[in-house]
Amino acid sequence: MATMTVRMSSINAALLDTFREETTDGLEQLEAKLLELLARPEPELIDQLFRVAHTIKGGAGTFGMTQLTRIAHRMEGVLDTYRQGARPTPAAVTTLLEGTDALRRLLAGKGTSDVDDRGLEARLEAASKGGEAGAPAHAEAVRTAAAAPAPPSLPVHTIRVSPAPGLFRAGADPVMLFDQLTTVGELVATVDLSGVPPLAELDPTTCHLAWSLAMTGGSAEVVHALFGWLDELCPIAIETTGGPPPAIAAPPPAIAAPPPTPGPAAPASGPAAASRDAAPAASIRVRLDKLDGLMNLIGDLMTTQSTLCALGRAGAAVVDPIRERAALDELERLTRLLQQSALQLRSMPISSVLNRFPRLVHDLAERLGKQIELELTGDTIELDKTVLERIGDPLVHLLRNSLDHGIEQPDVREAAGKPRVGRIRVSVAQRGDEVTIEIADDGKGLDTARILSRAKERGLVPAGRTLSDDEIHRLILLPGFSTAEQVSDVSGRGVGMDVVVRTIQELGGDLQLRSVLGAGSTMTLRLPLTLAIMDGQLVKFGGRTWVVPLAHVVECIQYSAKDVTVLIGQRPMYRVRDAVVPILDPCERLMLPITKTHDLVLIVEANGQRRALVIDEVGARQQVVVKSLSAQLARVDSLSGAVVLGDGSLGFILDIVSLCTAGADRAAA
Amino acid sequence: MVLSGALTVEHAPQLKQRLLAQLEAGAPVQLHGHDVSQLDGAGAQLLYAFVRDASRRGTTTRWISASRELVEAARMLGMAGELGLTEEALAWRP
Repeated sequence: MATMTVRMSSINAALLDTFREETTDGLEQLEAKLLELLARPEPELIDQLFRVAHTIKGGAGTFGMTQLTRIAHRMEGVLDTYRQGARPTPAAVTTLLEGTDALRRLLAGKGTSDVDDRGLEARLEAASKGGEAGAPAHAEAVRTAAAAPAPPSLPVHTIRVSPAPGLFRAGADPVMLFDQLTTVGELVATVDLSGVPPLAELDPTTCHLAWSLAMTGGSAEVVHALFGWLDELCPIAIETTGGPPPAIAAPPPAIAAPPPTPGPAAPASGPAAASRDAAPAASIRVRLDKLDGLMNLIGDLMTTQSTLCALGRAGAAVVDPIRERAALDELERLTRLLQQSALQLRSMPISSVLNRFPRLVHDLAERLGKQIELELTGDTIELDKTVLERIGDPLVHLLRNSLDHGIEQPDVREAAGKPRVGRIRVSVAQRGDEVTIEIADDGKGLDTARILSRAKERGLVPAGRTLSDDEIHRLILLPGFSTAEQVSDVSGRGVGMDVVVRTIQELGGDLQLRSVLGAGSTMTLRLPLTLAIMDGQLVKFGGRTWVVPLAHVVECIQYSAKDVTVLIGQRPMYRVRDAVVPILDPCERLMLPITKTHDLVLIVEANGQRRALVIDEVGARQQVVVKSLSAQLARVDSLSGAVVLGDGSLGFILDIVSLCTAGADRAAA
Repeated sequence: MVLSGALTVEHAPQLKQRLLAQLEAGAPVQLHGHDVSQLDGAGAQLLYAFVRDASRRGTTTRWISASRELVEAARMLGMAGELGLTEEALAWRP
């Protein structure tokens, strides 16, 4: 019995995870569609919204999350009035958005929350009443119109539902499942009770029921999607008659889930249940085409492997060198493709981060009394999951800054001859192995005079030093700097920009700032596509091989003593054509013995700062797989990671950002 | 017999014991279901086994009242008729 309990709870946990993942997606859709609703109150959109809310409600109900169910139910009620023809109002949409927030909070708290949602529930209730009272005549008209022209031929699906005995124990409830189906089509359920044993012998938690459902309308895909997450706990078989071809009839499923293989009822099998017992790990959703691509490559790899094996078996005497070369080339090509393919599995579209922006702009603009149009481009570009997870908050911070400090009040804009509506453009683009994210606004721009006076007040600029506009702009990135006259809870506390910069640097990227007073500011983030694989330049000094991220390498030149300039009280500089670059001896920095005369100078750049690294030898450029450093080595701030080199030895990656910045401190000191 | 609250899988073992005791008593049963807040598949299956077994033993069962939640869930499962939860059968309509 004890074993049983363990298994039950772990199946529940696995299902709950699936539910939470899917509901998180559902809430994102809900929010995005709600933001579209005022501009485009079309029946199709309203239906989609209703379906998403309904699915969330159903799922929450099966897991006994009553508060979540209740709020989703009330939201559904409001949306239903729109289905009946009432027009959405801005106030009601704001309340619905608050509803999605509450659902998100409840989902995170496994259905419970410390926040009292009764006020919200009352407002939702009022919105559903108001909506209906608001437009009764119109509502009637729409209802009649909807009823009048019956579609020429609706498909009829016969769905055989054969639950496994463990269905109830897994926390799945047929009432909720069928209720969800009623949002897709009209449903008539016929129950098969022949398997129900006498009451005295009945295990009350074992399912002995089966159903045949007749559903008119909707599509088989949606049914599969609704039942999909139950897998073998609730196999279904669908037969469809009538209706247009499925490709046209199928609306996109509200929540995409891979269709399960329909089959006869099977009890939850041991291995399947056991696999769910595994400890929860961070998971990622992978598009099927990516996995298919990977499978194809593996197929090709096996072919090449057997070719090479055959060549090997044939013996040295008869090996055809051309064929062998071709097979080895193919092996190299496939390995490279496999690497790319594996990396793609880790990448996710940046839309998962940008999707939060419309809501943020909507809410903040409302609070600040500003009018703002947000334009998002390039949101399908994919980034490594780790980068995405860490870049969300910095991006939000930058966007808030644009909204709060950049865009002016409508009257101020008008007086300045600008349109009342401010524009913020967030564009993402991929160049080679890096991604740039640009946040541009047409607001008031950075006021260099004010920044400078504030910086001087705070002792951030040495007296008598003249700074260029660019340098002044960069001052706002320093810790503790803020020019907001009024500290608001939106931004302006002076914490953040330095954190943003640090996060971006930790990810191997950088932040650039352009601003024109009166015309607006543009912040450009450059980020590596992935953290796990990097293009590196191998170099040798101190008797070891090191890796310099290629993105930071400017050029490599022959060392010549006559190009070294030493000024009194300054670090030695290296002359590169018309410019001088501070010299950095990595051996000295890493406290390594100097084993060889320096022969070469590698010019590197980070955050607009260049350094001349004196090295012994320069090696190949190659892609390296980055390994993280052990806790002890991670404290060495000149190193950012380790790699296993081609000959099996270990190499370290130089942290050029920290080397350049640390050098600057010393240079200034 | 008064049924109330959630007739769901979590409470199914207790519900079974109550129904079984009622069945074994052998007297005609009047069911009061106006306080039922939820019925799920497991609850419906128990109620069905009870109603069916009672009828096999010649004991009559009759719903005196039923909440909207109870009736709607039974309908959704296609079991309203089998449970005797049809509108005609109900003395008190939800």
